[in-house]
Amino acid sequence: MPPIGVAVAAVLFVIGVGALVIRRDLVFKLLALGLINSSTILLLISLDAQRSTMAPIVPPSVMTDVADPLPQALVLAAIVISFAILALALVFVMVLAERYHTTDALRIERAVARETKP
Amino acid sequence: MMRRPRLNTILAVALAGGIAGLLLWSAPEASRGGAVATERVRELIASTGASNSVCSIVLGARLLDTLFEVLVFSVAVLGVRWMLERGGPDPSAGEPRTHSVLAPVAEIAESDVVRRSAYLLFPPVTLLGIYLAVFGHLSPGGGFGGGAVAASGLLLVAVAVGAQTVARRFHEQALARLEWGVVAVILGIALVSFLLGAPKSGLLPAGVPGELTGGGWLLVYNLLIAIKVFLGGWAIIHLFIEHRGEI
Amino acid sequence: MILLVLLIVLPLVAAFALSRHRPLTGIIAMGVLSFLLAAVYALQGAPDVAVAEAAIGAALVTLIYVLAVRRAGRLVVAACDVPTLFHREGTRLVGLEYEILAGFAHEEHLELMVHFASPEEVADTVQSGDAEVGAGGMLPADQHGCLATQAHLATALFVIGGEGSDSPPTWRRDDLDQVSEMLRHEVRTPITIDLARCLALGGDAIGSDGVQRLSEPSAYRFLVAEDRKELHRKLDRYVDQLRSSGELDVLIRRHVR
Repeated sequence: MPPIGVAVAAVLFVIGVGALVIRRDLVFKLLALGLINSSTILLLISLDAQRSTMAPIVPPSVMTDVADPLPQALVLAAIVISFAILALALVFVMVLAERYHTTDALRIERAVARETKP
Repeated sequence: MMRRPRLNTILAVALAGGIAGLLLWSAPEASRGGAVATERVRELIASTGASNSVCSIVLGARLLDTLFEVLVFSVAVLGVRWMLERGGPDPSAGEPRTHSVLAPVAEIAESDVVRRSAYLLFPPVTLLGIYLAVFGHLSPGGGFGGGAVAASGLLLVAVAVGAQTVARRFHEQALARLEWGVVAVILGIALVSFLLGAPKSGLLPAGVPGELTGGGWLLVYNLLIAIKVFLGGWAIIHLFIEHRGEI
Repeated sequence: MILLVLLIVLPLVAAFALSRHRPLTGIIAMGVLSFLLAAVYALQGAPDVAVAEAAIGAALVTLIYVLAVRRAGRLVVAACDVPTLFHREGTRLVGLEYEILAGFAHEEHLELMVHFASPEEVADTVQSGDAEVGAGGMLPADQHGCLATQAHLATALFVIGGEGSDSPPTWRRDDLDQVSEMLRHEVRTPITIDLARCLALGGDAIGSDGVQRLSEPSAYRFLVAEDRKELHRKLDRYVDQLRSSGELDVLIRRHVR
């Protein structure tokens, strides 16, 4: 099977970056960052899928071709961490939104510029 | 809302496309490493005695990565707690948080269906989380997934009956201290293992793969990490709910 | 195969999620995407990752996003601080318009959430959707493309000061302290101000150069965004109810002396 997973990961990456730049709403920017995260994870998982998609969790007696466990290991805790970091980023967005009463990045920038004008 | 594509946007998307193309182009190269996977897996399983080779990588060969990941997670939770409880680095600046002043208190939706199904689902979900954590070294799962599943089970109940009700059952400071205590224990065990130059499975000898005792310290690590992720996830959710009001 | 179908659906769901207007829709769609991704991971031989992604991405992440953007159950009001109409006294809110809105929110089972802003910003905030109702002595001049409910309190505009100058009167409504300062020092710039704020200034205004009443009558109204027609209708009807039951007069007498 051709590496469609890799191609889809690339597409998701581009969609994520595009959305990050185009959308003005901070919430959507964060969602786009999450999508970029997920696309990278998908890439790492799919790289070896062409060779085998069998989970590398078998008793040694039944050993056949299995998927590569190394990228999975790398990615596993990355998911958990991305949740924690996302929560922190979301807290920043919340504090900003409560302070400037909007989640629009442009309006917040203008408000900050007004406040910090000498 | 979206604005019409400008030069920045086009450049950014083009750059992303370039990176994506690079990834696609290098994919055949990158996946070549997988050819030795089968051999590596066989050796891993034999040496650590745990059927789950992913787990034995995460907690064995790559233990240092995992330790730092646990640390990062804890620091992120700390950051969330700090920001939400004190309003950030400079709480005196800015106007006071706008929240409802003198307005009628919003009531938690008293939905019978939600409550009953939450009570019904909570035990199996928590059990699933514990199972994933305990048997993480034998079958798919592991500390991270197990802790996350348990946290989402608890949050299911929190959505149904209110996070305040759930939080009353815990002692807040005890939870925070427990969280850092677990991190300390994890780091301690790892440090001892490093210092004593232990084999990949830690101090205990590798058991028989497929048995619960297989994998030595992996079981302990999995449990500790599951507890850590559970506490951290619940802390984040609870802080958010306190700050924004009940669902 | 299922895997192929899932993979092809992924970019579609992603594009859908990130192109929504309402953040809530996007968040839920990203939750669905997480589930699909978890299925893909499982089918590609990574069950650990799949479990973690499902539990974290679909449940926890979606939940904290929903908590962060949650506005359901709340009525967001952008208001100017005007002493008799909408005023913050320490931690309490007082004023005629505040009471009207608080009553409305209570009836609709909503929580009132108030942001304070300057008069110019209120209509902007309402129009952009960041607030649902604009209050705090809103006059027709402030409307800027929002809908307005029926008038709940008639008012008049005054020009203070600047008898001998030819420059057209400027609106000064945002900073009452500044206005009283100017009046105290008898600055000769004419100021247009409305009744509530004039009353708030109290003796300062009346003692100065001559308060001249403009002939056009005016009235205070609430502002609602153009696309919130249902809200506008409800608020309008509420004010109407207050007026016809006589309660509006009671409130007016209590707050506006």
